[in-house]
Amino acid sequence: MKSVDYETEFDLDAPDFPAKFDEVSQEVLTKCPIVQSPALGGYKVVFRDEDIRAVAKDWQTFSNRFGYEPNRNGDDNARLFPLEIDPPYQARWRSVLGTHLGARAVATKEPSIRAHVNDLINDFVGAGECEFVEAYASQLPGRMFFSTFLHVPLADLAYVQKATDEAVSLPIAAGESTEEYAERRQAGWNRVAEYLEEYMRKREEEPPRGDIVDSILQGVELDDGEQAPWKHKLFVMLDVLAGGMTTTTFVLAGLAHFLATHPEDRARLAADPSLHTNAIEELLRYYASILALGRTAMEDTEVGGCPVKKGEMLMLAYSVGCRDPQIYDRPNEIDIDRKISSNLAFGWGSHRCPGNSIARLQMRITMEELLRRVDGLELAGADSNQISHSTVTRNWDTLPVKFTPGAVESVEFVEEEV
Amino acid sequence: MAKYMVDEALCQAHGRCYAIARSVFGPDSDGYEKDAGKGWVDIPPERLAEAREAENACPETAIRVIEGD
Ligand code: HEM
Ligand code: SF4
Repeated sequence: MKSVDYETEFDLDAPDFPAKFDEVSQEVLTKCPIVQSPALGGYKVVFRDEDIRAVAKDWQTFSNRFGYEPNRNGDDNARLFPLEIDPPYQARWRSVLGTHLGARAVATKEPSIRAHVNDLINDFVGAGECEFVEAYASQLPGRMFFSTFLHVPLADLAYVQKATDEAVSLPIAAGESTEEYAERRQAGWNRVAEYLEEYMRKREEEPPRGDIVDSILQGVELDDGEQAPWKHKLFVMLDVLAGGMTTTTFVLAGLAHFLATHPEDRARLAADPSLHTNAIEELLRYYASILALGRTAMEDTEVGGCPVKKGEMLMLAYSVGCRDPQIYDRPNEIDIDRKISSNLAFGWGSHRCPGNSIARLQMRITMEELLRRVDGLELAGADSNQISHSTVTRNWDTLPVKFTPGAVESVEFVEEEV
Repeated sequence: MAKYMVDEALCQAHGRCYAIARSVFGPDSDGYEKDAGKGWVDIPPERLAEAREAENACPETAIRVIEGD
């Protein structure tokens, strides 16, 4: 990518962008605050922390209604709410999610998540090696959603997980046209939607448990005062699932990669748990998993001094903004003592991630248990080609690691009060 | 009247809002903003500027202030 003309050729999906992420992001951040990409029918990309925050905060000028990425026409059957709606309707769904996903509610899930963490570690700890994405990082977010929150049998998980991957994180295949790629992703969405719809229909017949599903089924009002239709409830369930899968997988893999490659930091963290919270913020910044997310300009305007036309799609490159040298000294280095006053990895403004507390909790428990149970963690393969991009997400595809074999522990799954 | 809302999914109990605008915001027993998750709350006109300042200082963008009805 080094040789491309960013003003005319920048492409979020360029196959060599992941490998050159550090240098390309510094180059665009210092040379061109905004670029026009010819890919996917054309979109602009916003890179700088300040510009991203300004756009994300101004929902009246920059709408989410026309989709979170290019080529989502809005009349399909698998939209994501509240991601693809604007306030005030959007804010009412946020209140529903906040009750169940806020920091206080999430703290009660700690025992369940810790049991899953230790159960997953049990499956690989004796072997002395594993492929960490497959064995752990891609498993925990699904368990959190389906088991901790929905209490559905783990046996159903593999199917939904695969369909979710196809919808959210599947990279474009060699020789595949943009249309074929979009169709393949849509097919994934439809399978996930079918599964969740069936689950919600079933729950509607059962006595309420007071969980997030019941609150979503109860619904909110549309802006005209009518009750939100069934379809919208499905779109909210889809968002809570899809929003937390690949994103969390990426940071969990990033955490293991960090521990395997930074033995000094690892020793400090093992000796002093009071460093964990700050270190996790830094890891969320460095391994920011949302590559970019879209807004559509509702009028002719300006971003970072560059003209933007009504109807144009802007992709807010949160992951790149997290490396902005205006904000961070040595942005491409992990510094676990760095003070981050406000983490752009979770977005900004009215759509800022409602799952942030769950993501932070999964990171914290994973850090604690890996430090406690998995000694001598090291990379077991070449430190390259592990990451791919799919327009919106950064995906950690593979992470072979080795370590001193450890002992299996007994794990008790706490029955939650539902 | 102007109103504010605190997004319960975002509030992390940093306490900047009630350090800046004590007459509008305040902590609950765990340090979260007391009105997180409670919907829109009225702001008396003379407190609007303070509320706006707190809105801009919240590191999670958890606070939303609107003017008008
Ligand atoms: C480290 C992991 C995660 C990262 C980096 C992340 C990042 C983000 C970002 C940047 C946004 C803003 C979207 C925008 O500006 O258009 C967002 C929204 C969202 N996230 Fe997350 N997320 C993570 C984990 C989760 C989890 C675990 C859940 C579910 C429990 C979740 C659910 C959502 C939902 C529902 C939205 C849409 C909110 C709205 O539009 O109002 N996310 N996320
Ligand atoms: S500053 Fe923001 S995050 Fe902190 S207590 Fe106030 S509302 Fe919550």
